[in-house]
Order: sequence, then structure tokens, then C-alpha cells
Amino acid sequence: MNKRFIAFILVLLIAVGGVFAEGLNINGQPKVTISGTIGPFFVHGLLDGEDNYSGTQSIPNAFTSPNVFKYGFETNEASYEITMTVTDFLQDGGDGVVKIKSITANGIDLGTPIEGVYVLFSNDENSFTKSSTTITIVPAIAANLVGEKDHAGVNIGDNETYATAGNGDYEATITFIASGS
Amino acid sequence: MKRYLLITLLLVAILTLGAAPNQVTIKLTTSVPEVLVHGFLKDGDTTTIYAEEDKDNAFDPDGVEFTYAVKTNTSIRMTVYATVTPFYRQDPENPAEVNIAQVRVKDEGGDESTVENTGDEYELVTFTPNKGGMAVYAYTLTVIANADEVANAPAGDYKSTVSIGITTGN
Repeated sequence: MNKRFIAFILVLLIAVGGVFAEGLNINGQPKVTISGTIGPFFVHGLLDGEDNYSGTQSIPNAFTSPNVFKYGFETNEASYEITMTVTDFLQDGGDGVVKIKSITANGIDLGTPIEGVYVLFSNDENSFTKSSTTITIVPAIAANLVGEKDHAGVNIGDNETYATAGNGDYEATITFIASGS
Repeated sequence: MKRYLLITLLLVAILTLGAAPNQVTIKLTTSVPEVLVHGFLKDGDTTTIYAEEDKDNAFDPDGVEFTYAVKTNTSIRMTVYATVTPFYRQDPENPAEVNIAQVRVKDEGGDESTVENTGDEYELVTFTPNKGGMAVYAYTLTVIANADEVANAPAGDYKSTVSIGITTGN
């Protein structure tokens, strides 16, 4: 009986000692959630330098010198499409027309536009994108181009080349439209 | 004779009672437990420590600030460390992330320093409480996202989680 009592007392002392020997209680790991939003952006334009986007650009002497310009863009949008439309050279103050024979991007013929619209870039990737392309516009210069197809697949009329058109100032407009989501 | 003996016994009994102490004493003993609570202070209030905090505008070039605090009555040397996840884009179908560029810590005296990243952890501060009694020790933490990665990341909402641990006696 005495031995049982002594054993009981020892167990009790050990248990109580264990309670008091417990270490400092610290309240877990607090957490802070920090949030940020990256807003969508789309910058595009005509490049006269590496990163200088210009909204407009004029190229004079379009019938006698190369019509070459660089278009670029950068965006962080997940999907986007960039299209280009090109008018004929239209006579200023008149109804004369000079057709465009062909259009290339980085030296590759763009082929025939769909309903007058070229799709230059499209993307569904989920990343920041920065790109550019060099566009070359080739007017219908020579008279022997009459009867051939222009860049849009339309026949070039008798007075629709540089060599056969009426005199005056002519201007073609190239428009880039970007859409994203 | 018996009468004298009885009287003598009565006198002894009375004298004995009169010699009894006229005051008693009880000693109350207890102990103040060691307390260590850590978390975040909000809105300038230094009395309440919160286990969770939310901060916005984390992509500010100057980073996002929050106040971490330890409330304790101990004088045990302790080390505070943080694990900081990258900023994860909140779009499971199109994941992206922005890494942490820098974690800074500023003490109550205004001394600020950049914290080295050791593996997955940032060892924020090691200190020994010395204010005496229960006191709050506050630190301003700043988390700065990698600006280049922010500039080149896809648009969207991003979140990072900062978990703060504490070890004592080191």
C-alpha cells in the first residue's frame, strides 16, 4: 500500500512538473496579405526610334522614294488584335486615284486584306508583349500595271497609276487599330 | 483540597487561552505568466494586435508598409523572421507571378535597413525586450515588388502573403 502511494505521488509530481516546464506560448504566425493590381495598357504607334511611339507620321514624295515606316506596340493585355487599313492615293481637291500595288511587312507580302482589313498582330498569350514591324507601301507607278490587281485584289484602272493619273497632290492614309481584352 | 486543585486548573486554562496569538497571517502567492503576442497594429492603435492584415497598392514603387509588433512582458532574446511569397496572379487559368525585390524593416527609433533574404526567409530583427513589464515593440515593414517584373507582367490582380514567425532564446 505504501509503495502504491509513493508511486502515485511520484507520477503526480512529474505531471505537475511537466505543466510548469512548458515553454513560452506564442500565438502562431500572423499573416498579412498584400495585394496589387497591374492595370492593362496598350501603347502603339509609328516608331522613329526604339521606343518613341508617334501617333502620326508623314512621308513626302511617296511616288519617288520608298514608303517605308516602322509600326510597333507594347501591351500587357492577355489578348489583342492589331489591324491595318490602307486607302488608295487620293487626289487632293480632285477625284484622281493612284492605286497601291503591294504592301509588305518585314519584307513579306501581306496578301489580300479581308474586307479591306489586314490583321498585323493577334495574340492570346498571357504575357507582356512588345513587337514591331516594318511596313513598305509600293504605289502602282508604271503604266503597264493598268489591268493588274492592286494590293487588295482590285483591278488597277486606266488612270490609276502614277504614270497615267492626272497631276496633283495625292495622299494615302494608313490606319492602325488596336483592340484588346 | 480538591477545590484548590480545580481552581488551579481553571487558572492555568485561562492563562493558556490568554497567551494564544491574537492575529493570524495568510500568505497569498502567485506568478505573472510570461506573455508574448505578436501580430499587426492597425490605424495607429498600439493596444490591439491583430493576427491578420490586408494591404493594397502593393505595386507602388515605394512598396507597401505595415506595422508589425511584439507585445511581451519577458526579457527573452528573440528573432523575428518572415516568409514572403511572390505576388501570384489571381487567375488560375493564366498564372503569372511577380517576385519580391526588397524587404525593409524600420525600428521605433527610425533606423531602417534592407533585410537579406536567406533561403525562403527574411530575418527581420533580433532583439531583447528591455522596456520592463508589459510593453509593445513595433517595427515598420516594407515589401517592395520587382519593378521590372511589374512592368512586364500581364495585367491582373496579384497577391502575396507575408507570414511572420518568432523564435526565442537564440
